[in-house]
Amino acid sequence: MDFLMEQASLFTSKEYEEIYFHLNSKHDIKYHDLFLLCASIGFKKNQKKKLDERGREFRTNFFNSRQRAAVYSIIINDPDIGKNIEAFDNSEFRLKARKRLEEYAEGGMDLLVKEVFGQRWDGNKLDPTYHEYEVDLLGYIYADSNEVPF
Amino acid sequence: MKLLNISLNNFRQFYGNQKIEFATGKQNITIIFGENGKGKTGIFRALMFGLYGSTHIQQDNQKEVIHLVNFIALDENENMPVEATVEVAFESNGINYQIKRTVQGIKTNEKITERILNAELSIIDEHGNYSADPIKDPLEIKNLMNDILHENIKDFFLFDAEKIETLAKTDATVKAEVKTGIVKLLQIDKLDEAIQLLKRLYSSEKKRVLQSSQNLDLNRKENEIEALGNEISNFEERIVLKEENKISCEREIIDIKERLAENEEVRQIQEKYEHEKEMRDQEKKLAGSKKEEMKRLLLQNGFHLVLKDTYLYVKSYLEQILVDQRDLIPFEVIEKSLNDFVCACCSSDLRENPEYLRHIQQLKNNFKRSELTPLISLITSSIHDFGLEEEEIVSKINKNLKEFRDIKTNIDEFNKQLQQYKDEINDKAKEQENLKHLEASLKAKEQLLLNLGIEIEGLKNQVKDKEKNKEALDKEFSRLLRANESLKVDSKVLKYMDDLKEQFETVFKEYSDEMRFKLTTEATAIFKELIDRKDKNLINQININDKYEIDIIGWDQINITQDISQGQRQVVALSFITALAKVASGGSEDINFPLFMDTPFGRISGNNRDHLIDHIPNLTSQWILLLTDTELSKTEEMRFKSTNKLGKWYKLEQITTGHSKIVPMAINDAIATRG
Repeated sequence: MDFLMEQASLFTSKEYEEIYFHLNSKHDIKYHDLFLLCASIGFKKNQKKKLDERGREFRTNFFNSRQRAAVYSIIINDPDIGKNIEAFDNSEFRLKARKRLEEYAEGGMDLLVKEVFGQRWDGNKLDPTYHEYEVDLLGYIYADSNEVPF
Repeated sequence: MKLLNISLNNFRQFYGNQKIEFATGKQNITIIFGENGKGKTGIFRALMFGLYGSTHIQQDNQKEVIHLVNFIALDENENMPVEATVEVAFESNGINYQIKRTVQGIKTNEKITERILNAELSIIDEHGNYSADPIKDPLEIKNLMNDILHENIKDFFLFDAEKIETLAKTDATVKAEVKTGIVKLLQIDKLDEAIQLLKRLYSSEKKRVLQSSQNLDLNRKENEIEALGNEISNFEERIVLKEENKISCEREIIDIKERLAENEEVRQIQEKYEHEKEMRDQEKKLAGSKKEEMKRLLLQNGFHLVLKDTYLYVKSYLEQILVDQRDLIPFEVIEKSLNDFVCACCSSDLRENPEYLRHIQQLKNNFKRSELTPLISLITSSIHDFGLEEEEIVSKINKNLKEFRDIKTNIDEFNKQLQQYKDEINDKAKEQENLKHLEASLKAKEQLLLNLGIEIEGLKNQVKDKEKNKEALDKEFSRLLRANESLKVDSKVLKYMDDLKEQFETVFKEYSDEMRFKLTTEATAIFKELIDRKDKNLINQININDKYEIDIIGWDQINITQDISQGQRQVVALSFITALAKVASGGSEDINFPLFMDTPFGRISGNNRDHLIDHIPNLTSQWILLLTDTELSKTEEMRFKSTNKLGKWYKLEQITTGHSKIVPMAINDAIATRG
């Protein structure tokens, strides 16, 4: 049932591959950590985007138990495939769920590019001379969590 | 392995018979002191010749002839053969060895001809008796020596200043050196050769296919790939040049600052400047650790914070699922109640209330442990835990963000103050005619340094982009090749070669990754021991990256390879070589091979020298140093003596040109010639 414990792959897009790569190599932010952050944001803001071309990949069993709980929460709450925990042992559902997560992560990254990275993302790479991406990401999440939705 | 002694007879400038005994045991330092030109490198050559028969050392032009027989002896015996010998006695695994190598020279009509004669290796028993027949077979000697200290890795233990200089640079030669080191240590040089061979084979085969096919598309694509490849090499060369410029620019800046400091007023402002800079760096360090803390908060709790509203719905949905399952009471609670005869929920005594007992037994029989329960517990407990911590986490984030902003403001203030001091120095310099031009060139050099840094970064990014494009073009080329019916077989052959090369590369990478990791760990640990306390925290890690470059990572995780001083770079180089030696010795606590260093302290500052002197004797079983007068002033001499590790002193004296004498000194003799 805890299907993220399996070694299935999750993909990021080719479009944002460099962001994942840069934050991983220069800021030691692992792919799965950034992916989950993006997927959460994409889910919260209801931003989904299909992957045009696959980029970096990682295994779902990289998530720790707290992270898995968050991923399952996204799946359970998804308007299309959610509220169906009984389907967690269905392989077709699992595939669908992974696809949906990838879409949220992609949508979330779209938002981060717009709202956080801004000019520092030139469409190909992040400005390597800037060193405070983690601070900006935390600031963005903090400010967003304090916002009153209406 | 322990070096016991070396005897030289008419070898290089060591006219006649001369001998050095090496210190071993507790007092394991041997110092051979000599000003430039007195023959230090001659001793190094003698050791290399004696042990391995090498006529050249790393710093030599390998094509140039190096004369080994003493010139005076040759002059005295014109037209007659003269023999020069080197004998090295050493111990390995409790066995004593003596190796003797001879070179014969003859001088006729101002022309010297030399030839290497056979070597002899004797094994000596514990009573000092030599084996009846010394080994004379060159191959057998070579194998035996390689078993003791393989000539492929000897450079990690016995090295000259050139080696440190090379490793202390930041250019492509370092990359080659580091890679060679790793390859030699792993003994995967054959694998590397196979990869290079396949690369060459692939490219010549590709050329042949293209020539015979006359396919325009393919040829065009190949030309594009080739042009891009040339562009990349061209850019890489430019980067190397710019990096060299950067280093010399840094040196010039230090030099100008020193000259400016000769003026008292300027010196006073410079002192204030340095003090302020130190404070700013402290603040930067604080910012770095705050940033780390925030990254931890972001990665551990960022997603929770984003999803916190969602959790409410998830929790109620999962609770409903549990209710629907009717597995309200966990199995463990039922079990415990039955074992203790006390209801774990309401504490009723089950012996006194048999109907309760029956009810619980029934619950046990009916319990259908849902497969979902553990998953639901995982999710709900994680949500629950976050609920408990949420307030604290949010306040921590808020506090950290605020503190980080304050620190940044402070850094800005410090930077403003630093700029002001710079302006003041500038004004002072302008007041005095002789300082005017110094200040102007300082400004120009600082600007140049800044520009070079930006240009290098830009070029590196361009190389990265071009490599990406080349990769895409390569893929496109392979696709076109596969699509071409008439080239199907050729395409398969090429693919086979490429696959094979890739497989070799994967094996190579796996092995070398492990070695890189080991070296990174060792080099960092040794560096932390060797570097001056003041700089200890400046550098966090010496990293050997996947391109075999030595990256120096600062306390704030930023790559500062280009920003450290030449002296610090030399300590990095020394740490790296010592790490290589340690890994080559099988990673044991102390290195069981002698470390033999020719003029290692070149640009290393006083404090760092003291640290090296204090710590290297503890890292290795034997430390032999060839030191020049600028490396061994009275201060270093005192330091060496105070370690109580100094076993042997020698001084090289030049009697005449071509005649140096090795003079043994008593430990309590004064030796340094400079204060």
